[in-house]
Order: sequence, then structure tokens, then C-alpha cells
Amino acid sequence: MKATSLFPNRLKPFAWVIFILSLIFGILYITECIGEPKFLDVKVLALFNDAVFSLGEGDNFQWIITNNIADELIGIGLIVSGMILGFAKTKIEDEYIAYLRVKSLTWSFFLNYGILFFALIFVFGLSFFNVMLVSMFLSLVLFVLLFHYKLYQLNKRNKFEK
Amino acid sequence: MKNNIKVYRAKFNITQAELAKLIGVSRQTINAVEANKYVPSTVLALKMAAVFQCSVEDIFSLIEH
Repeated sequence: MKATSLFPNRLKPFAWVIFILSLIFGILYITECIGEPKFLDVKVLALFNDAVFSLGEGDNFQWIITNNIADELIGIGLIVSGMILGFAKTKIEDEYIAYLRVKSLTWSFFLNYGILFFALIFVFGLSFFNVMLVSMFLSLVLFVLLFHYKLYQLNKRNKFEK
Repeated sequence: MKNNIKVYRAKFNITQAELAKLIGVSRQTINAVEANKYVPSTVLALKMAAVFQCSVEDIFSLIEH
């Protein structure tokens, strides 16, 4: 059976590097172990920018604004590498791999919204902003990790057969 | 559902890897099907039947409850 369109397998090593780096920096960023380095303060094109985090600027439509792009880089890194890792062909792509992919996707979806469900009930105030931040990427990260854990298990189990 | 893939593989003296190659899937897939961990698609079942020169029902059968 022809699988739905997937990314080529050769992108995977590259995606792993980006994914692990983004994940590490993302965790450090959210836990505030690293700040926003000054050299990432650049002028960016903005379609919309409200002035909540930069007091005093009234106009929401300024086109060019100065912004620290640390969070943008981490987010883009996670999305691009995560999508590639989750939806790139494995060495031998077949229906069982597709089945494992769907299974991992289902589990990550459940886990993500399970966690969000509890956070909605038990987390209040500004901390909920952090919950939302994590939740944006959690289902993708969980999906990638679950899927590759399943692939790893599959390869391990397979070593014992004749 | 149970399957007789192992029996047929013994009969034709081919390994999981060889069968996998013949029908264009990974060896892990054959392993999972054989271990009843995964129910293959109709296409895959037909391909297996073609390799073993029998009908799909000879390889796969429902377990009566």
C-alpha cells in the first residue's frame, strides 16, 4: 500500500540534531535557566504586535519591530524537526510502521489533552501561561518520542527471531 | 485471528526476512503479524497467499468464540 506523503528519510539525522537542541534550549528557556541573549535582539517583520510586553507603544500595526528571537528560533526548530521526525519515511516504510505512527499519534494526543485537562482544573494565574506554552509543543514532542520508542522496541524485539 | 505463517514458512523453507523482501515490507512487520500483534491489510494478506500459493483463508483464520 502506498503511504500518505512523507518526508524523505535522509532528513532524519539533521532533524534529530535540531530537535534535541531545540528541546534542551526550550526546557532551559521555559524554566528560565537561560535568558534572552542580546545578540538575538533583531528587527523583525510583524503583522501584528500588541504592546503588552513592550509598554508605551500604542500602535499594534508597526510592520517592523525589535524583538528577541530566542523563543521564535526554539519554536520553529521544534516544529520543523518534530514534523520531519514524526512524518519522515523509515528505512523500510510499510503499513505496520504507519500503524505504529497512528498509534503514537493517538497516545500523544490523549496524553497532551489529559495533562491540559488537569492543568485547567488545578493551575491558575500567570502559571497557566507556562502551561499553554508547554502544551503548544507537548503533543508533537510526545508523538516523536513515543513513535521512536516503538520503533526502537521493534528493532530490539526483532533481534531474537529466526 | 490466528495465522499459519510459521507453518508455511517452514514448508517453503524461507525466513521472515526473505518473506518480507518478497512482499515488500520490513522483517519486523512479518514478525508482528506472526506474533499476532498486528492484523495485516488485505493487500498484504493476498501477497502472502501469492507467495505461499494458497488462499488467504489457509493462512489466516478467525478464532471461534
